[in-house]
Amino acid sequence: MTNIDLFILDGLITAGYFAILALSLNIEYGYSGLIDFGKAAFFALGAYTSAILTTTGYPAVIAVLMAMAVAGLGGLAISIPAIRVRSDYLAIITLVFAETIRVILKNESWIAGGVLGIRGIPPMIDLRGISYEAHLAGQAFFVLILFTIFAIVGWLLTNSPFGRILRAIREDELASSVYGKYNTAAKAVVFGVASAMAGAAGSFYSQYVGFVSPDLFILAITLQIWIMSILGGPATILGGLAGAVLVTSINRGTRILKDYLNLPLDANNLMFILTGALLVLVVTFKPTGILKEGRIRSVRR
Amino acid sequence: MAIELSILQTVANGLITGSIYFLAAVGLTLQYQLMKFPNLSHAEFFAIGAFITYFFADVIRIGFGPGLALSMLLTGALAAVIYLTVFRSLISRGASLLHLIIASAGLGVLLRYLMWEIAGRKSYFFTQQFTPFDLGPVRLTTLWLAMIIAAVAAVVSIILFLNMTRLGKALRGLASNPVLARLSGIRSGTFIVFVWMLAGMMAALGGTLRAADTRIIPELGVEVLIPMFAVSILGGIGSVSGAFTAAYILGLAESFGVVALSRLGLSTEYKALIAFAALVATIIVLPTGLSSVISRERVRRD
Amino acid sequence: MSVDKKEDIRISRRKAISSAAAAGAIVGVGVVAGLGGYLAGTSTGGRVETVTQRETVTVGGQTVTVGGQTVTVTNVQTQTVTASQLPREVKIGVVLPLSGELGPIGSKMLNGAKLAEKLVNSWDGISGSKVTLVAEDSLALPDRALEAVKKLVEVDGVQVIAGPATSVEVLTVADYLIQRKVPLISMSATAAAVSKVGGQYIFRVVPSDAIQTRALADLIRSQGIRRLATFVVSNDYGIGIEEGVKAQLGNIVAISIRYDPAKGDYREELSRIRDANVDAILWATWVESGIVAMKQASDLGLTNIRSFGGEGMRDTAFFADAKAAEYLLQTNMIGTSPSAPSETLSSKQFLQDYKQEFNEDPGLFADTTYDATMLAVTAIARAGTYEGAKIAAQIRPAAYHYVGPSGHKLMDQAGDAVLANYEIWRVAKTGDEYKLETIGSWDTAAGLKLG
Repeated sequence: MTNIDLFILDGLITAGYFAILALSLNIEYGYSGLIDFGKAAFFALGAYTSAILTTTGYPAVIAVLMAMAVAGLGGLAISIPAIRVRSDYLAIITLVFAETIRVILKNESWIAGGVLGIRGIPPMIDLRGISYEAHLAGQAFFVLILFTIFAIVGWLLTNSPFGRILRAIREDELASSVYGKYNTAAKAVVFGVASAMAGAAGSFYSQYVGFVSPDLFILAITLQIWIMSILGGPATILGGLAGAVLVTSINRGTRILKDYLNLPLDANNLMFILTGALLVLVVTFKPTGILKEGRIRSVRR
Repeated sequence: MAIELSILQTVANGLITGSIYFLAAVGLTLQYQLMKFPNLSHAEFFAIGAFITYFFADVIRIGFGPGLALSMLLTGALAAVIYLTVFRSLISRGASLLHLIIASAGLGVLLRYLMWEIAGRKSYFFTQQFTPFDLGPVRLTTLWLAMIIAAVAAVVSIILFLNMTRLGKALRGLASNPVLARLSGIRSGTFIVFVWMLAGMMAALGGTLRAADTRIIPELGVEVLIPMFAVSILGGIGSVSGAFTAAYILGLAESFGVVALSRLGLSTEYKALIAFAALVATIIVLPTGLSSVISRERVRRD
Repeated sequence: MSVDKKEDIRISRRKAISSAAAAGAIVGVGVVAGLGGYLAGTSTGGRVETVTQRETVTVGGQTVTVGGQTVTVTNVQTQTVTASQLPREVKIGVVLPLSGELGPIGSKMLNGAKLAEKLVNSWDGISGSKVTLVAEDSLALPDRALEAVKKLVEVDGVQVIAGPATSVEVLTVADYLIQRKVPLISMSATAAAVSKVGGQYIFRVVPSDAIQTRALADLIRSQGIRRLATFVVSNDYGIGIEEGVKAQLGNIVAISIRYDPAKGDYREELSRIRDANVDAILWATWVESGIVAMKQASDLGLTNIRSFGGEGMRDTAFFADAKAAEYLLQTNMIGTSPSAPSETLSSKQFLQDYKQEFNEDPGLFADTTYDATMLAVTAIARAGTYEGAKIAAQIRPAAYHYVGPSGHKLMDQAGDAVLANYEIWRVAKTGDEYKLETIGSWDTAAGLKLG
């Protein structure tokens, strides 16, 4: 018997967790103009922290909070050197940071399983005893609720007076610093908050797939998150969701379609070629993405 | 006595690695200064150049040397075409810095997986053999020596070109002060194409030599992506002499790093972190790179 | 993004277009997903068709004489014979790295499975049902492997899987498959950690590295090596061998190098080994990066040492480069490999069949992939029904007497191949051709036997 609906649901749940990641990137880049190429690092920090804690018996709530704390602190730490430099350097520093974390996790098996990673992470909503379908349904509601919470948080953040500061910084850094808007502090806060969000996404993702390993945190993952952000619309709240669904569909769709269409290309190569081409095209022709930035709602006109 | 001798080998290894890093980075650094964004797809020309050389040298069999020369020309042309089709239109549409970075990343992925698709199922090695020889206590091969010679030849000819010829001087002017350059009548379009061609040619040279030392694989460029940027930034974006110095500093640091790592019993995979550390340190401590220290050139960074 | 009145009109038009685009994108995604679902749902493999036969059997006759008249009474009996509860097409999932760094190796491993498929179908399948392989590419990455496995189970309805190839992948997909009650048989995951999840749904046709490293250690000691260097690829395969050998040999291991296959130049690492004055190097590398390292080792003059390797090194693909091949010969590369000695009938037959089908020699793990697939077929036949749980229960029974080209696949409680019959192989050259030959054996009972 086939259950393609389960496969699709599984894809949507995965997309949901990546949507939270893409949202955190939108907050950094779309609203604040910070080019962060190290998303994978905070995703990893959160996922590993949570994995270590839940497999040694700590309750889920603690695991998530610690994941957010570790990732958030990591974000604050990297922001100290990073945000004072110009944008392209910021991108490079964050990229290097992510790679460093990955190499360390891979080689130091005393930290967390090294190359083999950690498996057997218990789900936070565990309906596996009932049936697989029930388990998926439970996880689907879980991710929906989580995304909604983070979306609300993100919306509040970016539509608040703080949000206006961020957009001001994004539009003209020089001007906003002249008006005394505490640029550096604001950026550090954004980094910390967005990184904590990424850490939470990591924690939840790890309990869904049940494992963490250094291969989850390669540069390609960061690129995927960027693609989701750009495609969906970087200065939006829901853009990350749209982008995540689109990218996940492409990934999984090529896997299924290859059975039916005699693709002249290898499916995996095709997926990357499509992704790369899509990136170039979107950036060229529709650089603001599919969805559009909303105007700030907090100001009465 | 044995320790001193082995240090010489480490130095030699560092110089060899540094030569490759220079060839990979010199095109990038010029491009970066001129275009004002880091071109993440530059790494792919490393591999493209190697594959094209392989095609001519071992499939059509015209030999390694002629294959390499042909590959340099073709890869340079390809780089110019990519600029004209992709990046020029992006810039004319007013693309932001991030858009250019992302487009270059996407292009890189596209190129690399096209290579996997066309060539991916086998492993490729050049049939050209290189003989080892001893230079005193140091072990070298004709290939490794060729790498060093190629890097030196490249730096000398590029610097001579930039300083002695009219075209070169115009390029320098364009890079450091585009507004003034255009006002004095320099037409930027052709020069930009030229820089891209040069970058492609150098990448093909470096990539072919590197592939001859290791293997021809689409990931060839990605392997040196971070060192390539580390060298460009450490040397000062746009400075050829800076890149030359930085490349050898990094190469030697990595070689001695491996010595230290294995003494400490750590995985030598960490040697990659040396390039990382160099990069981050430069950005924080000396963002204008070594060139601002070495030469009294003031490099405008806006 | 601006608040100008004039821009309001433009913004609302842009907004309209963007909203339309957004709606279009979401609809597009829905269409793609729906299309995929429709296509998948209408494939014939989705439905289980049961084939039943009815036979009417007439049993004997009886002659009864009643009062001068002869009456023949015939007893008619009807027997219902169910021939098979298998679907007309039996799918076997295969998860291998078909692209990426391990792509070349994985593609050749797939040939082993394809050979099994072809042979079984030429023998009328499983009770008349055709065997079909469904192959998925995992790139040897754990998240891809999980996605591949989910697709096989949920979209294709597969109930048994050959693969994945690496230990990390097996560990990653284990929980999901145990939940879904679909067994897997791995052809090459050798890390000791896999034993912990194995036995009910997770099986492998290779022995754990915990045993192979013992064989390697015995071999190294027997050659009088007093200082050893290990040069391993930095992943579960290489690190597993390094740690296992270190545990066995202690401080004979003078220097350990873990290299990054994505890095590509190992001059300095090899110079370190040269300076450590070792008698031998234990290699555990993938083919491409291994060839690179050997070329560089040869260039550096690191030739007055011996070479050792596990089954990952026993691959003719290393001969693709002349310098690397010569290096292996020069350093007398010998090693262990968990295959049956290449003189058995089964492996000779496999070699012949493989060459006839694919026109080349089998590569690394082609035989174990073949065996994993054949075992899956046998287990399905024994189970008589295409249900993961029932198939899983028959895998160890099927393996009990199964002797394939990679040996007798008897499995222990943890689903590991238990008969650790290793062959001792070496690189040799006849005329212009490099080859691999067997020069001895090692097993858990008798230990090392050379010559």
